[in-house]
Amino acid sequence: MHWEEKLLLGIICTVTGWMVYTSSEFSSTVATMPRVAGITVLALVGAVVLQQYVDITPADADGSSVTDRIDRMVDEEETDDPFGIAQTPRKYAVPFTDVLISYRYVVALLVVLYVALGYYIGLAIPTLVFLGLYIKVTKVEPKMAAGMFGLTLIILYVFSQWLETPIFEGELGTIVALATVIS
Amino acid sequence: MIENILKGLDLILTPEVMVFIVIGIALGILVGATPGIGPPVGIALILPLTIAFESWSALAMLFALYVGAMYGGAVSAIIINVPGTPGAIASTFDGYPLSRQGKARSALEISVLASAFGTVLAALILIAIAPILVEIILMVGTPEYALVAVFGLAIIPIVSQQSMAKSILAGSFGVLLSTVGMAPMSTTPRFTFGLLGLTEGLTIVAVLLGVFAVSEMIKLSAYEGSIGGGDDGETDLGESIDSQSSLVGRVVKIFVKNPATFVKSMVIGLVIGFIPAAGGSVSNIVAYATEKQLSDDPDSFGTGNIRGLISSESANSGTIAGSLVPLLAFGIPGSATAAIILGGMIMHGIRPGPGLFTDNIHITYATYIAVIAAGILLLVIGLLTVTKMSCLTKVSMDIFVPIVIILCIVGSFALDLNYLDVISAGAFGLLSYLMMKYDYSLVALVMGLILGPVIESNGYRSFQLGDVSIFWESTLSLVLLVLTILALVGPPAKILYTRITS
Repeated sequence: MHWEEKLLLGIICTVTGWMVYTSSEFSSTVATMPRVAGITVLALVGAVVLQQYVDITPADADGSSVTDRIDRMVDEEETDDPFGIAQTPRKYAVPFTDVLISYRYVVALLVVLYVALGYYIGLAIPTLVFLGLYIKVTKVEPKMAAGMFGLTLIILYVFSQWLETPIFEGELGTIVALATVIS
Repeated sequence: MIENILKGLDLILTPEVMVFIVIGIALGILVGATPGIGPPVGIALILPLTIAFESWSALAMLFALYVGAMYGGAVSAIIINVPGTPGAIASTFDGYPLSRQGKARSALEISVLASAFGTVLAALILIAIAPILVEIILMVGTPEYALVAVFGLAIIPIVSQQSMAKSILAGSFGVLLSTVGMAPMSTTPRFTFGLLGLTEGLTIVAVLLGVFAVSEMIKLSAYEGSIGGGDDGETDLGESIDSQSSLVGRVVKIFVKNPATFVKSMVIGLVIGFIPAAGGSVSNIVAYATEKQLSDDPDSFGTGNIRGLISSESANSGTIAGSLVPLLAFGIPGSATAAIILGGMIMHGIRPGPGLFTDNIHITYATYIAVIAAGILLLVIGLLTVTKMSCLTKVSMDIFVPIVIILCIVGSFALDLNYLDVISAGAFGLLSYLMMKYDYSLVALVMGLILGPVIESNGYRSFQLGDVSIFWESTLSLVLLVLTILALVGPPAKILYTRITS
């Protein structure tokens, strides 16, 4: 089993385990649904893990089961992509190292950073930071980057002015207030 | 019936709604034709922007986007052999060979016609048989309602053809997450960490943005340029097969020569649309296979037979109207796109349920009239823009990925001005990317989230009405129970049987 799938199942098990455990605080009427769903999830995680190691289907025997195929494709991601798109996924060279990682990890990390920053200082500045970092890591041409910044500013304008979304306000207060505190 | 249809017409046939339908079709063609985007992502992105619109303008635009995207999927299938949507997979089989023969323009005209025909006729049929549907829907009581929802979850692994255990796991996890928030029939908040923002549960539209759009963008971020490859500039679409005839003449000739293919495939799409989670991705393959099997010349399929293209396009568009029936009647989406439309309907104050086929049936008629209007306008817009379609397949992922992620994150916040929705969109995006990569059904996850409350509240009410036998007392509930058991037990039993006999 690939470490990413282990991580996925780990997250699912942790969330499920916590919800099943916490459901003991509720009355039986309220706790039934989360308990039934949670126990089903945990049982199926067990079945999925077991399926990796035990030959339980005829397809598994010749290595052509869905799980086998995905594992093989993930291992061979350099040349073949598990999503069936006829393009070799590009790799990002981590600065100051020889390490090459998938751009997907980089973008996933940028999304985490974007959401976390947005939570604290509002979405306006983190949106531009996210775009700037994305342009830097993907080495987008300057002309195209300018267009993307323009489009992003239009999006932010539409949300803040037309839909009256407070994108300058996060958990730490507004950008203006923050700037005052810093100065 | 006539009075309610007129009420529905009154809601849709306004200049404002028509303008939104045209915008929806244009956006739909754009997202459908761009490989990797597709209707679920497109509609999820547009949803937060519709907050400011009047309800029917917004909903009509979403339906039109669905219709436009179904056709748009065929554009990239024909021009670059990459289906823009899963519903257009079979369109590549004969669409691309036609394109290679220099007949891309004809193939696109055929696709527009088949898409418009499938959309309009399926919706008309559903309007005509609405009184019969009402009778069937009225047979569904509280226990049956719970069982329909359970059946909807149980059938996902079969129709999605993904791993059974992983699909049910994803569905069950969705059901589990649906229990976050206030429990039905009580005032007990569950798993909210004392946060007010979680009292109403996870915001479904924010979750959908993460599941379908953010995850898809993380996936696409690994690719450079357009998914279809190729250089910039327009592709030569060639001449039409019958270039001497006028556009209208050509379209009429195509239909007159193949009426059975149009109708047969549309009916297949319509019926498959009723099945929860099946959608256009299943119907186009089934219709194509049926057409090939019944053909006098099956060997010509895959080499540029226009009937192959018609069957795929007519079927996936017929699915649109079909998938709206379980959505409107029970709040059970017939496809991933229908799940997002459900989020939009709830956001705009329309809560699906049997009431939409009884007291408020004019809303159902309005929905189908919007779909019909979108189908008719698609024919006009699609045919007029056929020659400009090739440029849509060359949109660079480097532009698309960050812009879509920004729209998702800012859009999820705009829904309810709640940062928990932003966190939901981000977290579900990352989780769904891993699920997608390792074959865990995203549709099952979303269906679980949507159907969880339906199962819980109706199950709870059923137990107040009687004991457990209430779930097999009526014929309908017994049938649903048997079908659910068959859906769950059948595939593993078949595997076991094959293993024993081999």
